[in-house]
Amino acid sequence: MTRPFNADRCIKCGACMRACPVVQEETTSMFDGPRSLAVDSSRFSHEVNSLRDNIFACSMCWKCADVCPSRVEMPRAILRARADMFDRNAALPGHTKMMQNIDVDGLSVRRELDSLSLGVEKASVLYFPGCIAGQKFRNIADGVVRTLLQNATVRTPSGLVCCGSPLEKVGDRVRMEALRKRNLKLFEGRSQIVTSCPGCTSHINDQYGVEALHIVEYLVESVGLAKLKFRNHGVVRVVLHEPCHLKRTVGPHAIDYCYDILQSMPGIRVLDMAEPDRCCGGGGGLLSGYPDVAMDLARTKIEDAAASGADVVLAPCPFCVLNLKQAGGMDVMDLTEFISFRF
Amino acid sequence: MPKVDVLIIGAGVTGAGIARDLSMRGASVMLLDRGDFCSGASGSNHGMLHSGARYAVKDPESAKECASEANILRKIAPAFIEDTGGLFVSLPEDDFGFAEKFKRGCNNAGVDTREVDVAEAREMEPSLSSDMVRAFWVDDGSIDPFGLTLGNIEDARSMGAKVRNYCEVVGIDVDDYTIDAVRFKDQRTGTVESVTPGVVLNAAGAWSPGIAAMVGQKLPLRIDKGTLVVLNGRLCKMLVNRLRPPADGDIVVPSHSSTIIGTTSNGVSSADGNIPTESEVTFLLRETAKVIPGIANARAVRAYCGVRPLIPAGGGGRSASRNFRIIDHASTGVYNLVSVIGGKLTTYRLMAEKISDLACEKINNRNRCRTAKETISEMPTIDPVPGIHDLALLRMAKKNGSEYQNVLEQCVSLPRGKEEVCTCERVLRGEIQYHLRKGDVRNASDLVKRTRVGMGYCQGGFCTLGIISAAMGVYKTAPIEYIESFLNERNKGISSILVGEQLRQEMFKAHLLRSVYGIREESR
Ligand SMILES: Cc1cc2nc3c(=O)[nH]c(=O)nc-3n(C[C@H](O)[C@H](O)[C@H](O)COP(=O)(O)OP(=O)(O)OC[C@H]3O[C@@H](n4cnc5c(N)ncnc54)[C@H](O)[C@@H]3O)c2cc1C
Ligand code: SF4
Ligand code: SF4
Repeated sequence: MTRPFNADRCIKCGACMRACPVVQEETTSMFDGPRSLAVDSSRFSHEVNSLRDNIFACSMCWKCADVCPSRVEMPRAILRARADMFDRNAALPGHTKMMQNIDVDGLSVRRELDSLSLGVEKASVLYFPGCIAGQKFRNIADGVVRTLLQNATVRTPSGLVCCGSPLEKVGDRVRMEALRKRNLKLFEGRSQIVTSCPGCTSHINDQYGVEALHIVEYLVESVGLAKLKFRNHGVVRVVLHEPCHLKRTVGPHAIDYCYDILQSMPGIRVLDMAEPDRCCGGGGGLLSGYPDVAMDLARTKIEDAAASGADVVLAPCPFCVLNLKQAGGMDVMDLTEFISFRF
Repeated sequence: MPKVDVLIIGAGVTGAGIARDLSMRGASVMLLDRGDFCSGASGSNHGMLHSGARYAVKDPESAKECASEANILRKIAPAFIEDTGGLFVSLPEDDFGFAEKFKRGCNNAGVDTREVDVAEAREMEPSLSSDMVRAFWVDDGSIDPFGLTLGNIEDARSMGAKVRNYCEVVGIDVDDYTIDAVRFKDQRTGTVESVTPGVVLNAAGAWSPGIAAMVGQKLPLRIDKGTLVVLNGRLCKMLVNRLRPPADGDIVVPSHSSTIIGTTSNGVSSADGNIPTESEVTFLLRETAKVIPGIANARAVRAYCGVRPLIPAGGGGRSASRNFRIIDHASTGVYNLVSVIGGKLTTYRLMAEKISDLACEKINNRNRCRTAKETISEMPTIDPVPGIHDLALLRMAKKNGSEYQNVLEQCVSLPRGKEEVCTCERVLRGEIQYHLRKGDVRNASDLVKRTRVGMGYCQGGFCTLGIISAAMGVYKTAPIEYIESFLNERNKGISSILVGEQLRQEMFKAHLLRSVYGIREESR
């Protein structure tokens, strides 16, 4: 029987409900919210089916778990419930499309380009581009490679598929496992795995049993800030959107590294914005499942970013970039791509 | 002085069942309780719909009754019953030979049972211990005693029965071996009223000797206390029994949003003033965790106890017959008084039928009992309602049975009626106001029985404020006393389980109520 992880610890303080970005944006009439889904409703386990309605409106931002004084890991319980109730025939249209894409050639998005393939044998770094940087925004992948090449040798084996994170988010553990096996074969060798997508990073770390670093972690921890020789290409005012997965599931210092890198760049002014770590709506299957909600969250984010007076909002996550760009109204760029132009 | 054919004392499930039965036969009926309905054993039992298996070895007669009555209840009160199915499981330390006796007993009593292998049992009920050595499937279920009792009462009312709570019988006048007046005090107004009954039925459960004593009659009764612990969430899908001669800590019942473990058995001298003790709670947690290991880490939210009115013959406690006995006091000098003792929630209908037969004889009513055939409450059909969560609708249906549409109507039509007052149990403001308006409810504890508000894991920490606000909508004043009595009532059940999460919860609740809303609870 499914019992949510540690749900018994809840003291009903309501912190998670107040902090949840989807509840804030849409109210509980549209989305039950973290405590209600993961703690309250699950107590009626025999009636759990009525959760189906909106359990996919959670963006997996982990904010709820972050603020919980009892350390209840609601997103984990929500994921488990999604897996328990997984039924491909009842999936939301966007999720069905994503799974069809996976069935065709292992990518969560439609293939538009040949897979990135770089072949330096014995390279120090294996770059895992993931679906969005690999297909939708090849400029991000190119930027990552340019940046990495400053201090390392790089390879990207052809045949890499989606890491499986989107499948985990819709509850399809079977296909997720198949992708893991395909990728793991290509991971063989001694190179350090580096990604540009925080979702891929934490998924590989949690599910593959191998260590992956997000590019900002790699740059600061393995290369070292001192070795990054940036040049002044003129003054730019930026704000940093702090992606949920980078902040809350990748590593404790990843966000600090982003600021450290930006601050070491001559000519860059980092401005403050309201709640920089509030979810943009790009993750957790929200963008494909509930595009309207994802758009609402992205618009709010863009408004906050614009209010800071910045020229560009930087997001070290291709999913965030994708979602924020769709909202429009301001320049959005992946942090790594931005970095690659400042050497 | 008003007259009725039959006056029934005690509105537990037995009294409520009798009131319905006699009303269906066309008798004029009055039903009184000194407290709220279900304030005796009917509101503090385990909520198990017995297949009869538990009594198969020692008490085959009870087993037979349970088996046939359980099937009748499934038909006449589907809204209040969950067909969870049950398992009897034994552990290595249990007497292996008992299983054979159990099988034979069930067969002889006509109780449906089937041995399942351990692996299959674990598949049916994954929460079970891997130590289990033998398992039997039985047709046990879980029953909502509040819904069932109130359902009987509403049905009786719809046929003209006068049913009043908070009316305590304080005196009975006998003339020429016949009761000619029963005096009762309306606790709401403090006035004493009288009624002239054709027959008096004493269904006061553990308190029935006191009623009999009012007319100088002796009613031997053994009062047996049983404690239960409520755990947060449903830890098992099926009702789980220990396969051994009935002992303490044998049964785990999934019910609504919780799991209830029990019970204990202790003779006590008084039906009043009993509270669950810490050692009983610890014992129950330890004993039931042997069968369902998850219980060891579960969150106990509340403990409560009830008193069983047992027939003294046949020894005490566990070995006493759970059967009921109907005592016609005509043979000992009061022609129109009948008492009923013993019984079970599962067999209440049969008890009501038998006692009603006797009452009808006395008032010359020749109509036959129809309660085994006519439904008390179908499970209502649930259609989606904009602005109300599906789960809230489903819960509302399960709690209210045939009153569902009326309750829902209030939620939809009242301003803010769709607001969720208790998020643990998904109770809506309209639901609370419906019951406040009906007039039976005197304090917030009475609301709990009808709506389950405050029964969740925060134990009234948050809904308290919603209740105040809903009550203000009805009474136009802030009923702080009302709330304090409610919190104090909740506290009785909390103090024996205050450890771990529930302790943190209580600290937070105390902080919130005191510092934010200025509500003080009695010191514990
Ligand atoms: C711990 C425990 C667990 C149990 N578990 C189960 C179970 O799982 N399954 C099952 O089938 N059965 C179970 N039972 C048995 C079942 O609860 C009882 O048999 C049943 O509820 C008895 O109902 P009743 O109406 O006869 O008595 P009660 O519910 O006790 O009703 C008596 C009523 O009389 C009222 N009263 C008293 N004095 C007066 C007066 N002077 N004037 C007016 N009214 C008065 C009281 O307020 C009370 O409401 C359990 C019992 C206990 C105690
Ligand atoms: S993970 Fe984020 S979106 Fe999901 S419930 Fe928690 S706070 Fe809300
Ligand atoms: S933040 Fe944690 S403790 Fe507070 S309501 Fe949410 S789950 Fe419960």
